[in-house]
Amino acid sequence: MNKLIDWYKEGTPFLWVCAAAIALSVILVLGIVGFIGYQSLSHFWPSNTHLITLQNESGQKSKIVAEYYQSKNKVSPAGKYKDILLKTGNRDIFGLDFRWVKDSSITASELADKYITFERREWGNLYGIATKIVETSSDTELPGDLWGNLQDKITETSQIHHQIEKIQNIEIGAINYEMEQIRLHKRSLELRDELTEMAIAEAKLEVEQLDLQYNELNNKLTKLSDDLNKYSLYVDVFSDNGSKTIKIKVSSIVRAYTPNNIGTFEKISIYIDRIDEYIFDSPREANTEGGVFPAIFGTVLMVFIMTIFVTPFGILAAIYLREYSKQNVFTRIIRISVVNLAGVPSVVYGVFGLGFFVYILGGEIDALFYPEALPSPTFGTPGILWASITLALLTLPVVIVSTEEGLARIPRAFKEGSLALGATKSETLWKVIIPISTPALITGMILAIARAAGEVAPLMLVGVVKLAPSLPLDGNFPYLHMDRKFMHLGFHIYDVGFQSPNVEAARPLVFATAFLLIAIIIFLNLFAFSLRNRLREKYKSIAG
Amino acid sequence: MKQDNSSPDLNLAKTFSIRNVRDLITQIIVYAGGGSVFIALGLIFVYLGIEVVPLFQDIDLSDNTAKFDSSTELVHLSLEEQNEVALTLHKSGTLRFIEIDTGKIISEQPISEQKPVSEQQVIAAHTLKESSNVYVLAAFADGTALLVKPEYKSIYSTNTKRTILPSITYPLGKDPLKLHDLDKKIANIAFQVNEEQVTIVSTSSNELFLTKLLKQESFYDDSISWEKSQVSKTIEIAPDYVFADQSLQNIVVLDETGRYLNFDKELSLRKDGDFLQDDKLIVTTAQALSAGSSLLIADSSKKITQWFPVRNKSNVFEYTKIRDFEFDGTINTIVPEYSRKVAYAYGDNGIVSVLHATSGQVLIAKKLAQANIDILAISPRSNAVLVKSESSISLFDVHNEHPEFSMSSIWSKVWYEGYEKPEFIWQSSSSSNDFEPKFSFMPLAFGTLKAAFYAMLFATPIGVLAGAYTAYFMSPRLRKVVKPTVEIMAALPTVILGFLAGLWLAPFIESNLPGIFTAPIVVLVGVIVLSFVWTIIPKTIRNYIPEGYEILLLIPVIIILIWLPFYFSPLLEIALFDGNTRQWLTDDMGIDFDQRNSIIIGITMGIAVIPNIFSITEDAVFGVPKSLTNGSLALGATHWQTMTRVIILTASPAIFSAIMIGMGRAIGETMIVLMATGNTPIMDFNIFEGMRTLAANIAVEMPEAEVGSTHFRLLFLSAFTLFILTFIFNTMSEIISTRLRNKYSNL
Repeated sequence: MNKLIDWYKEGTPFLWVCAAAIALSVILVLGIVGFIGYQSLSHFWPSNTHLITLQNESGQKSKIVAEYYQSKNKVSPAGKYKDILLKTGNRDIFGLDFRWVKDSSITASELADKYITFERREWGNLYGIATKIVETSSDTELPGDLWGNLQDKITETSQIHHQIEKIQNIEIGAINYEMEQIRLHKRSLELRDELTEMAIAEAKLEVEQLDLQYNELNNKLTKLSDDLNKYSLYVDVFSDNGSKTIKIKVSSIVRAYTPNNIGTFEKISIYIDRIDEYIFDSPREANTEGGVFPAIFGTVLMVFIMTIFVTPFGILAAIYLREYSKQNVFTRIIRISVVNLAGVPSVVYGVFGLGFFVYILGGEIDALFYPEALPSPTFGTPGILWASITLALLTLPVVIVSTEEGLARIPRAFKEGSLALGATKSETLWKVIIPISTPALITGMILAIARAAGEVAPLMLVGVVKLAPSLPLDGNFPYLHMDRKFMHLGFHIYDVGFQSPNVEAARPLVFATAFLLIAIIIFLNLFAFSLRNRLREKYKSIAG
Repeated sequence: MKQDNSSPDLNLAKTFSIRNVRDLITQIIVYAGGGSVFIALGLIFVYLGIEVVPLFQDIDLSDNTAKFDSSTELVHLSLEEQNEVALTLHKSGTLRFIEIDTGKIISEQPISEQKPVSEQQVIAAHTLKESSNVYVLAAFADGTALLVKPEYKSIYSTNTKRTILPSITYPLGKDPLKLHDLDKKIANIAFQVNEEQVTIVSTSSNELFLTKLLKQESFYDDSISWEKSQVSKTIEIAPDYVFADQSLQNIVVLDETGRYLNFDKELSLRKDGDFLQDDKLIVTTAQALSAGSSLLIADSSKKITQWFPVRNKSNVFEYTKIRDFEFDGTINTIVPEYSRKVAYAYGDNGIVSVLHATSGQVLIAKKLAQANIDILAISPRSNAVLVKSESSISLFDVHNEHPEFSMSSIWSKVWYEGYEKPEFIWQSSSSSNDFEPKFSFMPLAFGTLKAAFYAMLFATPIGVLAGAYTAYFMSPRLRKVVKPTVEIMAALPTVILGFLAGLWLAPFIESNLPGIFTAPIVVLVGVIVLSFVWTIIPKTIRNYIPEGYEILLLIPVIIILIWLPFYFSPLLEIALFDGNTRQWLTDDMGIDFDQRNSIIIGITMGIAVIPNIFSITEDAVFGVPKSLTNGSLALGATHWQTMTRVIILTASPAIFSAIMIGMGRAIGETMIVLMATGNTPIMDFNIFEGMRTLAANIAVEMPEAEVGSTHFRLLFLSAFTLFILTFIFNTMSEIISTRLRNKYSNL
């Protein structure tokens, strides 16, 4: 009993509750990061397929090939049971990729031998047994080993696919861009009343030339798409009423493998291949498959432009606060401004960016410099430039606070020594303080980048779209198109996770994007953290 | 070198001045950089303010000075959208287009080409706007009527000069439509137009006629014919006014005493009653507002009362008095705007009052004419009016962009058309045409506070206790790792938290409801029990985990303690709630349940806020001077006593400011709320339902809001409100922490 009283009097239970609070916080952080990491990284692993026999309530049996995807514990008054989500693939046959079944309805399940997983460009995965590979036009079977032929032809058609994409996106895109430039040029001459017969003729000639080029490319495209459809594959699959054979084009297959018959080493190579596809390819099927390259690219470019805007202002403000400020009202106001800028909700920045930058500044710029394009706006519409500037505003306090903190770590001795030797304040600043505090400046920049990379709400208002037709950086003069809209990793999560019609299918990809984003941000933060620590350690002895 | 020797002073002076100039320039640049922060904040404030100000501007009616003569009596007057051309319909049946600036007659024609001039006398005309077209229905003395539609074509000749070319079209054909027999003169007329049909309601002494014209498109060619059908009914009053609403659910006739009959679209009587309870009063004029379901009844007591159908206790729609407007003089004429709930009312003294029905305000009363006003016409864009008085017509500019806005309309209950009682509603858009936007800030403000409340409920205890423990009790080695780990949480993008909450946590909690409510209790009790067990187990075991390292033991224990209730959740569910808690809640308890509810928001937004609170609390507790704690310990206090009596008290202002900062963040958080709630603007504190916050509302609606509209400005107002709220929170917390810093530095 005494022990109990002591225990209470010393406050031990409260102390442990406090400790539990911090333990819970740590669990939450690690749990979230770990959960997302697990969910996303396991998605790329080629999972086994199972041959499952299902029995419905009337006792009818049917067979299906599927991946076990997820299971949920459920209760009913009768007791506990499990709902199992099967990834059945074959959306063109079943109408759906996924199916929920009760665990009791599965009567038999075994590894599906010989079954091939086909990843396709459309309609999601297909699970089936390949029977023969033929030439589409004549329906004659190709001689030799089926599997070897299949892999060869997949590689072949993938290359053709790449060529077609290149022609469509880059070369034809360039022609369209030039055509638009000619039209705008004509219109601008017209607005200035300088449109002469000669200019019209010149423009016409250029358009004709471009048309010629376009036709040439178009012919090339037709030929390539003929090549693309050259081979077909017969596949045995299960459908709602027994098994049947379907014929698919080899060109529709991205990748084919037999997950149950290959070793770990091969699985790893598929795993890496799929991660590679995810990072470097364009999205397919309304962003739910394929890669996120445009989103990565958009995020990086936006952050880069933002850094150019925010760094000088942030560093100057930090230098002011640290080195130049006196104890007066002006300094107080600036300190309060910094705190408030940091506290303004991000969506308010979005509203400000949309109203002030896009409608007012952008509208003015259009009226002054791009009258030929009106009424369709150039800068008077959300785009990457305005998104970057808006985020520059939003990250300004981040840069200021962390730069100032870094500057505070520079021992006074350096500064005083320099001043004592007769250097002016500005010389001390440029030649002493800034060179040795470079890591502090970089820390500020990195933290700003980390903050900007994860921000979504303001971007939704000032320039992010779910699918941008072209990257903001391409081979057409002036190469960097600041007026274009762009894709963003954070918005990709919101859009695919919440606006996509096929949420189950999109989910792994959203997890992957979330993990990519988290990984980037945590990496940046840790990097900044270690830089700052190094700076602290470096000058510890002098400061002490 | 030589030069140096020859004139050292001069050279020194020169370098000196360049160095000084450089120094000065640097100083200016640095000051400018510092000032830029203030400028940025000021710019946001000022710009948001500029966008909001027009909401608060009063309506303005000003004389445009354009004026032209028109001496004959008019039955109809209207303007086209640009306010450059006026259309007059004279009693004699002449239609005339006039250029307003110059008074020049552009064209003139008899209203009907079919009728002999002597029979063109127009006895009544009624006008309305459907989508972007204005229609005029003119009734003739012989019981016929003709629907005309003025059309205006803009022609751009040589660059920018615009001329407007008006013309008259006949949507129902050029033949006048026979409504009554010759002996039954048309007394009143009203009509509605939509894509498929034209409906005309007319009265003649004791008879009511409903004429429908159904559009028939020929299968062979694109020609259109109209199929006419008519019903009539003898009624017990001789009406002076007749109205039909846009959906034709209500056809109302009333006479001068205020007695009214309300029919449905088959002309069967639905309800009758009296708009004027006082028998001494008479109706001086009556008018329907745009879309037609609200009636404005002006009576001889200088009042206008608004009525619209409201579902009564026996589930029947009945015209109910909603609100009234008082005036200085008797109102003889009411002219409604085409699409808003604004009406212009005037008597015989030349004073025009503008009222907005829904917000219940008379916006302005201004003398527009010296004598009696004959007729007043409102521009389709509601930005000008034409007033005819004493044989001349003058144009007035109207600045009345946001009549629906007032402080009371966004903060108090408003009785909207079709609703049973005054309510707080935010509904900015709808698919239907005759929709009236409803802008009440209350549900949004309520949702914002509700979300912040639940988030703070979760985050404050965890953040503060964790911060205090980490700063005071935790071993320094562990603290070095734990603090940045928790602070990383602040860097997690909220879109990821929102996505996890919406797609994973929400369905998980829905199927484990008993678990989520037992888990906190189990964890709390478990930890307390463990703390006691720990004191009585042998020292040899206890030495494995020294003081300050408790969390190493606690992390696995808490994971198990959280997992346990969820493991047993299904069993609890079967035992207590018939195996389906959700159904039990809705059926047995009558509590509405959304999958994405306040629990989800509380937890997720709590997670986003914890690092902010944790970090500031930790810094504050860590910053409490050692002399204070050592003094307390030296006097024999235990660590816990020192903590509660000395440290927390000293650091309490900072902890308060940590909570403020957390609150500021929770109020402005967008993505989590957007993704983890249903975003329905409801006013209910129920923990099982969601909310819509100001911030999420901006993110959802801003891209679609029309620039410059009331909706657009209200979204700016919500952004401005958020800005001010967070400004207050942040400034307060900054002031508190500065004070505290000064206090500590003295110690």
